[in-house]
Amino acid sequence: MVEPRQEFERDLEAIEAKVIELFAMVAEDLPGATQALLTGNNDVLQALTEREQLINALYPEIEELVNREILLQAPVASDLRFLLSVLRIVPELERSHDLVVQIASRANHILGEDLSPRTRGIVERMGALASEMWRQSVDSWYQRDRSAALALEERDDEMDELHASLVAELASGRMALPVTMEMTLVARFYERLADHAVNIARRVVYLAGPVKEKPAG
Amino acid sequence: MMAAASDSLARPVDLREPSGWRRSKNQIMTVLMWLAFVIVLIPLGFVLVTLVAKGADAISWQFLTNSTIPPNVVPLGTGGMGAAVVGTLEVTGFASVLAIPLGVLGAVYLNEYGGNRILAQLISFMSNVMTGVPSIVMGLFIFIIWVTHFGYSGLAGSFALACLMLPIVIRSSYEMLRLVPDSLRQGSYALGASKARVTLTIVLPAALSGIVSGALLAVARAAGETAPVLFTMLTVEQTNSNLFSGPNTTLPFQIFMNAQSAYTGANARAWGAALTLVAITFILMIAARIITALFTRNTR
Amino acid sequence: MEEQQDQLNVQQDEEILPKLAVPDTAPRDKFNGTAVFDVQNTSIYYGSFRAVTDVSLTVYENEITAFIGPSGCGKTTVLRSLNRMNDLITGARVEGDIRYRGVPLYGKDVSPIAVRRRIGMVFQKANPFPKSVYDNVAYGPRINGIRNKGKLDEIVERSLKQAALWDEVKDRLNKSGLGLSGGQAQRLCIARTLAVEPDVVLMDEPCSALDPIATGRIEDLMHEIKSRYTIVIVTHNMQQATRVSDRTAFYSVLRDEKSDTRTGVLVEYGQTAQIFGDPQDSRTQAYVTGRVG
Repeated sequence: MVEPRQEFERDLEAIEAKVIELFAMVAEDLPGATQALLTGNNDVLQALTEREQLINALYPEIEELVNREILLQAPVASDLRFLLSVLRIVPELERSHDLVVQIASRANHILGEDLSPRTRGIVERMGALASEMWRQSVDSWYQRDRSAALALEERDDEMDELHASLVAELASGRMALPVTMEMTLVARFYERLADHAVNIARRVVYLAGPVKEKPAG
Repeated sequence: MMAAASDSLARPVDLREPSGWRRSKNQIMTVLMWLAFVIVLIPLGFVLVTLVAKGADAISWQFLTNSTIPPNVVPLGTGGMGAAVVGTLEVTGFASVLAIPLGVLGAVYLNEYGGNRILAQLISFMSNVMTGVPSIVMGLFIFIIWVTHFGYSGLAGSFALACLMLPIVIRSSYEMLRLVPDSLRQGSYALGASKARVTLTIVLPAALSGIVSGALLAVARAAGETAPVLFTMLTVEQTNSNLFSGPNTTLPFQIFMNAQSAYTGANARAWGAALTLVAITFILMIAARIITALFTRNTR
Repeated sequence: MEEQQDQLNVQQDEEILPKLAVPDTAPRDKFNGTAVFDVQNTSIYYGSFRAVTDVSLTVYENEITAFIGPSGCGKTTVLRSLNRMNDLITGARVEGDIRYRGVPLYGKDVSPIAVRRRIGMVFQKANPFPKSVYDNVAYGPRINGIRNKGKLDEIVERSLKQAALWDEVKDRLNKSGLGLSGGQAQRLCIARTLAVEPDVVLMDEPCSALDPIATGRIEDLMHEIKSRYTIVIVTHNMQQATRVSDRTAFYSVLRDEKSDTRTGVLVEYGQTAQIFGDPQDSRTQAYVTGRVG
């Protein structure tokens, strides 16, 4: 007996695979970008720019696939939630990768030695936290885990504190002005990355759907 | 015509009649069918033609209405079959009045109300059996239970003919009622009609033309019966327009009596009576069809 | 003067609608409105076969409630029990409590005929009577005792207009109802049902034999008459359920492996947007997304 809607299932799986691909690119490239920033290494930027091209091709492709499924398959319930969620998070993923590239590109403008130890320390922690949050975000999507949103919101508070510390450190004027200006931007980038991670986790709550009652009988 | 596997796209399109033995088989069957049709038409046509040819001479207004049936020796021209015409119309008419409503109601009971009840099964079985009972037996039956007590009369003849007609009317009406789609009944019930109303306003009107056909067949059969008449009405030479007392006579009986005789006058009268009988039946059928068509003109 | 006028109107309506002679004791729910049907723990049997097991739901006034589910799940059986059409099937029996506006529908003194005059039904395959269009629509009022030609004319016109059929048949009212197209015939059946001004209209897959345009017309019709009637519709077409219904009940087949019997059960019942958007039961989810036939 043929399972109904096999093609539809395959299409949905294809979309999921591509979304995971996008997720992976962001999650993988983030630590490298932080590293590049702290060590002033420009080579990473090259690879990242190539990834950016890939993403710019992938993201409209995903949107197109989703539009098609909505048009032709009249999805309801979990199928509809999935497709709508994909449409909402794909732009967030794309923008997140832009941020990652931005972070890495700052390495062009500052040399590693220009950073004060305290600044370096905070940035390291921000980078680690952001990576951590992204990993959690990918997992929450993959497992349709609605509880991750709460956890990530707490970690976002942490990120906000780090951001505040970094801003305070920068305000103290220990580093050269151009460096300070660059680092202000970087601070904002990490903070935004964290926000995107939280947003995605929030979408997962919608995606996962209502809390299911046990089936009767 | 096997196509090479690689050439399946290039197979020519052939839409002609299947050739060979299939075609000739088709032709043979068509011919046989037409042959059968013609063979069936022949006796029918022969009967009609003979009837008209032999009987037309006898037909006249006097023949149809004169109330005295002359003895066999008398040649054509004197007297007429008026007595038999009146007798046929009256006796068959009354038998129809008895059998048709009873038969239709019986069929309604069987189809709409009876279901699987014992009574319904019994009625159904008995009416099937009765269709096979010879008409002479019916006549004998009425003779025993009625004529021996009340004497010969057109009424007794009506009873006998009604017994003959009843199973036919029940059977054919039942079939017609069964043919009415159940969806019509459901639609009527859904509007809040009672069972009686559903039957009267939807089922019977829908089955009407079929029921009329069945009833007509029964009437035609009854009009042409001779044997029951023998036992129940005897015969008369003068018109007896009183159905309920005294012997009476019908056209089929007169045909029987006159055709056996050696005299030409009697024979001519027999043919005339036969033609008259067929004509009466024919007119009746046409009239009933016209009336039914008028009643059901909005339902097609 | 106005009051007198109103009195007259009320009188007219009463002639058209013979009352089911019981008081209206329908429970009213502040949030949901008046309960028209209250089904409690009802099972329906055909002889010894249990077609539907333990169904409980409430149908509310002036709403369109849809019954959906796979074949053999009992949704038509439940629908037909709401106007006692199952009584026509020998061996059918209803166990449990079905109340119509607070009155037990299968109570001892309840006449099925009076029930069906208040709760009408439209069938899957249009079944116009072999009578004229006029006589089809006038059939119901006539059996309710309305003989006055003027009044019948008015009722026929009003019903055909409500069914969005008037313009198409007004010049052929005396022609046979059998000569209409599928969509027209179904609208004729709807007009016929509306002519007796029922309280509830039950529809058993009314559009399944119709093309999309005819279907659309009937769905528009349902929306228009919703304010005056309560409608329950059985449908196989889930998009139709989402388009027209306020509430949806999903039925499914429950199989008992040991005794190898099947019976219909009500799996989930709620607002349509919830049933199709966030179904609570996994069986509902599987059915509405088409993963299960």
